[in-house]
Amino acid sequence: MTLYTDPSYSRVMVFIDYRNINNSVRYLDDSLTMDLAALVKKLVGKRNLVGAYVFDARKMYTDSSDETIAMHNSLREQGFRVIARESLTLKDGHTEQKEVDVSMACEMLEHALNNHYDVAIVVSGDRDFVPAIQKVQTAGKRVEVAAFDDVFNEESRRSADRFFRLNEIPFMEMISPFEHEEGGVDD
Amino acid sequence: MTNSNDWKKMTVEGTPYSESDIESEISKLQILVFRLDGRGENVVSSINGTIVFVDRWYSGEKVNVGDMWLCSVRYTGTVYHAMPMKKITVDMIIGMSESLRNDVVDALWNTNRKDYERLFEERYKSEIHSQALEEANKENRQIVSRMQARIDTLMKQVEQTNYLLKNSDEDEIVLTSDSYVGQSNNSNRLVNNVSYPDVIVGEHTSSDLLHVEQLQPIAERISADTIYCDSIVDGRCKVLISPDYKTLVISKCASGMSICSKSRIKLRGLDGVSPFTERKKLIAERLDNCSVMISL
Repeated sequence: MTLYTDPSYSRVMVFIDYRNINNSVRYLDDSLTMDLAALVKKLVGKRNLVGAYVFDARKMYTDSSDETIAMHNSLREQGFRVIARESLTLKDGHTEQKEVDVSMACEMLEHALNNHYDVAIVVSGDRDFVPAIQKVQTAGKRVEVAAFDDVFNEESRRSADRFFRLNEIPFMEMISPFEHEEGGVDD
Repeated sequence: MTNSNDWKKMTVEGTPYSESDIESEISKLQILVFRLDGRGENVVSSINGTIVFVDRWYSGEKVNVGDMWLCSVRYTGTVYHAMPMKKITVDMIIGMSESLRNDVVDALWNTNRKDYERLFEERYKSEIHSQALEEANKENRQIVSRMQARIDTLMKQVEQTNYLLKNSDEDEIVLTSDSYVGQSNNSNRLVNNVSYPDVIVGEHTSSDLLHVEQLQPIAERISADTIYCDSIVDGRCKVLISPDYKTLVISKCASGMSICSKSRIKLRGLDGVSPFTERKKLIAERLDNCSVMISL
């Protein structure tokens, strides 16, 4: 339920916090993959998409084994603008993403102040975005939030002009078994 | 400057013609367009339906078919004989003053009115005929297209009915929202209950043809990893599932990672996201021409 109408001429910009949604998806095995293009199409609907950003972390430039590079390139080929920030490697070997949220908030705000869009869709349930969402609204823009039930923050949901439950949107692609697998289909 | 009418009064000997002589001479002048006669042998023309032959004493430039000449004509009681005087060409007409050009046009019209009228009528008939033919063809194509859509719908309905007959293990199978067919005597009752839209060959009303029935798709979970959906065309397709594993969207897509064969799609991990207990029908809804949404 929303107060607002969806004129087709609305310029929409999508900002995806990749780790936030990726960590919420239950992957059974490699039979499911996230189709962000399908998700964006569903969220934008008949409105005019003017840009889709994906914000993510990556390892240091020197680390060529980083699998996210291929994933980011694949997203770029689909038309996404990928902004990846270098992760911090902790002493125990684990990595922690840094600068990603702030980077996304800055980008969102800068585009709003430059009047590059009418509606921002924030794909993240992170509460850290609430101040940025409010500032964008103050700049005269609408903000819609899409998040999973288990990660969305009530404050973040209340701040949004419209809220989408990602749990209900079909954007996980399934695949047919390969020919050599049991029960595989002939192509 | 000499008066424009002065030439009429000059003669070779310097003796002026009388006004009556001049009028008599002018009345003999005609602008004629020449054509072949009915036998295709002689070049002739006509004045008010009467044939005009080229005077046999004429020895000037050859008169060809389609030529337009200013001629002096002589009536012999049954036919005219024309003495060509000046060939009228496009260059000559362009070079004429507007009033003179109008005079020529008027003269041509008055002389050959019947011929021109017949010519214009034939051209008009030809244009109307081709226009009508084109419109009729267009309408026919539309009718054929609509009838083909209707046939496709009926074929689909027959296919669905056959599938239901073949696969139903239950006592009753649902054909449409308001018609039920008993499994025990399927064939008889099916014939009685399935209603086919009236198709009248050779006759139609526009409203009948414009309305092409859109059937809801039929979907069924037929095994642990296979879904049947009659509306999905064989080939590659994209299958998207919602993260809560309750909604499935199947779309025809050349870059999709799933394959539909005989309306059946095998999906890896389907049993994991939606455990198979028994063969059951699923609620399906058409999203657009190439997408179906199924509730698991």
